[in-house]
Amino acid sequence: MHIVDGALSGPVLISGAVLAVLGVGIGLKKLDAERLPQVGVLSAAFFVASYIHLPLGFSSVHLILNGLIGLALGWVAFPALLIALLLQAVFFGFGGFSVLGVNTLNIALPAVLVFYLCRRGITAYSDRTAAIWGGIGGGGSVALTTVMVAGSLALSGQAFWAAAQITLIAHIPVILVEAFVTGSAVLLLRKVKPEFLQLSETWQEQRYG
Amino acid sequence: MVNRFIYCFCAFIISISSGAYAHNVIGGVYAIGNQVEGEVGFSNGDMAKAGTLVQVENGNGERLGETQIGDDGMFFFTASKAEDHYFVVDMSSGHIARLHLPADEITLPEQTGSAGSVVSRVDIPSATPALTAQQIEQAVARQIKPLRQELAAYQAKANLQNVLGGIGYIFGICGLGIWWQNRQQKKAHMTNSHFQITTSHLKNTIKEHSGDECLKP
Repeated sequence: MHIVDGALSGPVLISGAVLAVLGVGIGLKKLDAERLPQVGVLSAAFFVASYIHLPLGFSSVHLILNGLIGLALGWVAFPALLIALLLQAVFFGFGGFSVLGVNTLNIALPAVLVFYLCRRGITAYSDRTAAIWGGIGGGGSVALTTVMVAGSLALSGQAFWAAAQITLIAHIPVILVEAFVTGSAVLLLRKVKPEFLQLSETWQEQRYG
Repeated sequence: MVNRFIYCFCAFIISISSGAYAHNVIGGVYAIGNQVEGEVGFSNGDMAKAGTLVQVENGNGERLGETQIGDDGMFFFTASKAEDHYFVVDMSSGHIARLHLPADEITLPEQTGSAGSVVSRVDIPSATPALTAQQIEQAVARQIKPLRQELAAYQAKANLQNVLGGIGYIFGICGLGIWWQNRQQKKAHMTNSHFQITTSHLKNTIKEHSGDECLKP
């Protein structure tokens, strides 16, 4: 998921950085001080997730979690993911500093889109519907990210379709695992800790009386 | 039913995850005389695909030539100039390895000497076979190759300290944010109460002086 230093052209790097700064700005504006600890926990979860490789067949996958982060945080996903990506670059050497903006945009923008697309779904009355929408959000955000990664590479001169196909096919297992995990997480959070998903008290009363 | 679904799900995932993606690109490049040998792969142990193009440039971006990845992610190149060599391997999907070989590691064979340039010294007894410098370098390189591979893999591997350090940083940044927010709130509270004190003080003063002659109409 992380594009490395040197793979992208200058204009792509600069426009990525500008858009990421805009996103982070909106996120910081929308950031509610009381939710800061939650933002930190999700940022840490993203940071660690890419370190834990789960063996799967001949290869290994790791969770990306940007769907879940988007559903819980909305625009605040931008600053949360920026910090996690920065630390991944420092500690693990994933990605790099010049591509930090593009990487943040590629991972955080799908998270925000998922927030707007699946938000209504996960507040649905039925648990099953909510879990399915959570799954769509989890898998969809990873799929969107792969398309954006392929897009960034295409804008820098690589053939878009070839790159998009390769990354998308390679990430099918991740998309499925992510959909499964996010769907289950939504289901659990709705029951145990609805405020984690910013579900209001009126919703809780309506849902559980 | 649920079990069967999960079973199918896992089987499906295992069947399609053929190891096409990984995270970090690692590689190394070494010179034996003017014979350059390098290898490229991913941090999870997969090597670059055979047939991948390796472009060779100098420090100014001028092309010096090209070669291809062979078996096990290895590639070979014969240097013809003693200058900085950069080996750029594009393994698609944004995985680009750029390996640097400094100029001083390349020793071109002497032009005047015969091919192979045998270092047959007079004082060596003829019983021991004369070794060329190149042969010695090759032998040493072969011996330390596993070490180099292990070292590269070790360097690419993130360790537990790094993970814990990163989490610590994230929580630290959150702590800073919360501290800052608290400070802002306190400040707002202070100015607010200060304002209340001044207004109440003003009211009292007005009351005290309401009996004064000069204030009467």
